[in-house]
Amino acid sequence: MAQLTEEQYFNLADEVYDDKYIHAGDHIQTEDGSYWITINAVDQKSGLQAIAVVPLKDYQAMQAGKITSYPTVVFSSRGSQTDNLGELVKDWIETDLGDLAIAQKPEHYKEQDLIKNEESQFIGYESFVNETLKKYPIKDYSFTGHSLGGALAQYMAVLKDKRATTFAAAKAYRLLPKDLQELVDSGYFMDKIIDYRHKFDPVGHVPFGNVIGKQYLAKSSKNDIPFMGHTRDSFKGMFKGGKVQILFSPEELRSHANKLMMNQEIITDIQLAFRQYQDYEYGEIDDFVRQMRTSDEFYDLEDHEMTDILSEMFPYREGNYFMHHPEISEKIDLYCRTLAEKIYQLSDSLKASADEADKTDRVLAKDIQASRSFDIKPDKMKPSVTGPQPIES
Amino acid sequence: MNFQPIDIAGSNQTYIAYNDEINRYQANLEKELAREDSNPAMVLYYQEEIQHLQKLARIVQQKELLRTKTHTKITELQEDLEQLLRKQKEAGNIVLNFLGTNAKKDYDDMLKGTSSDSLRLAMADILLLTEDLEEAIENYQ
Repeated sequence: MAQLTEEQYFNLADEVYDDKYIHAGDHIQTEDGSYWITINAVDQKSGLQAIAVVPLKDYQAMQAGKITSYPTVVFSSRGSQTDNLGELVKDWIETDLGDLAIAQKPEHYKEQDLIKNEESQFIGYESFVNETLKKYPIKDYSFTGHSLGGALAQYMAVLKDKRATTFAAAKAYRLLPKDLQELVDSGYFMDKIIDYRHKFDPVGHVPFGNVIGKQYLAKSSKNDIPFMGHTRDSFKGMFKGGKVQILFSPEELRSHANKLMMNQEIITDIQLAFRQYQDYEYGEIDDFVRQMRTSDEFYDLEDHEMTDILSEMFPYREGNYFMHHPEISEKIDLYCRTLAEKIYQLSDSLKASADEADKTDRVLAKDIQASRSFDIKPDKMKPSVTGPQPIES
Repeated sequence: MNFQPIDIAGSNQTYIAYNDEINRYQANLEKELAREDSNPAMVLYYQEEIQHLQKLARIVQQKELLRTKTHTKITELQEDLEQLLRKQKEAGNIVLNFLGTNAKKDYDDMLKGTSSDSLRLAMADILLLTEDLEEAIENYQ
């Protein structure tokens, strides 16, 4: 399966909100410039609206008989209905939370035959995906969606052991069967299911339950106020080279790493300053005591009498006389040494994370390049008996 | 340190007492020497007592002088130490502010719920250690 960019996934998660694409055969051009064909769609009274799309070039290749199965199918599911803040909150409370937080697990309804496909978005979506997989020759597929659509995508990705790239997804963990919840907890989906959300979006925290896969915080084009970070618009324009601009970009990670190293230098300077002061103090007091002990001014004083006076006058004595607390001095040295080491390690981790992100980015770019390398020329196209009917242009 | 240098001759009661005693012996010695039949043993006795008392008075004087000189040295070092602590507290505050701001505002919030918990914990660990360092600097003297 060709690797899609996060931007492509987001645009598909966004386009599914447009009613004109909820029909098989619909032609979609997304903002990233890629072309798609809807091969199957669902629109149910439960509110479930989803599409299964393939890249136009794959569709054309299938039509031309160049391929026998679709290498890349994306299931995109719609979430809450609007970008209007007031309606969004209302929609969430009245509909989405019902499915996610109050309803029984889909498996319960299925076992008891208590509910029909049209009444639960999760049951309906599972049927839609199964039906699509049965109806069309599909080699590989993945899921995407925003908000409740993201929860649906994650839920299906776990059920089918596939990849999902979601945006501001609500938590579907509670609805999973117990054995799959355990699989999620084991970290199995960490590299398969990734959700991007914004800092002040509460939806990524509800309902109660674990995060499925990984969750990253993305930069937002909206103000950081509760719920505004949940709207789809907040992701728009927040991609760079097809990738979501995460709050911690590699550049920012490196910048933080450098700032940490500057602080490490300050800590090292503190340690050095204390060591230098201690050396200076030791030398000064040592000279002073020697001068006093050898001075003619104190000819009549016995050694012990001088020792008594010096001990009484200097604040601390541990072998030598000190102005500072010798134990605290050792603590400061230890704290500085440990801090410098820990800051260095943290800085190093941040740099390694940034390098890793860059490396992943390069691999992704290569995949995208590879996936674009076979464009089907129109004169090579031929009708297919297996694929869906070509669309009317 | 509550040391107050004193005028030994004017205020140290031991020193004054020794001097009174020396003066008394000195007067006796002079009286003894003024007699025609002065007793050499008594003269020697008074002279030895005077010498002994003079040594004791010098010891008091030298002890006080040593205290004064030590106090002067300590005051001198105290200034260096305070300057060091002032500078290092400022440096520590810079680090604490940076770590505090980042740990509380950025790292803690930005990395919460992500796979980067280790970074958040490392930052919190460093922050705590920096606070310990600040406290240690505070108690250095």
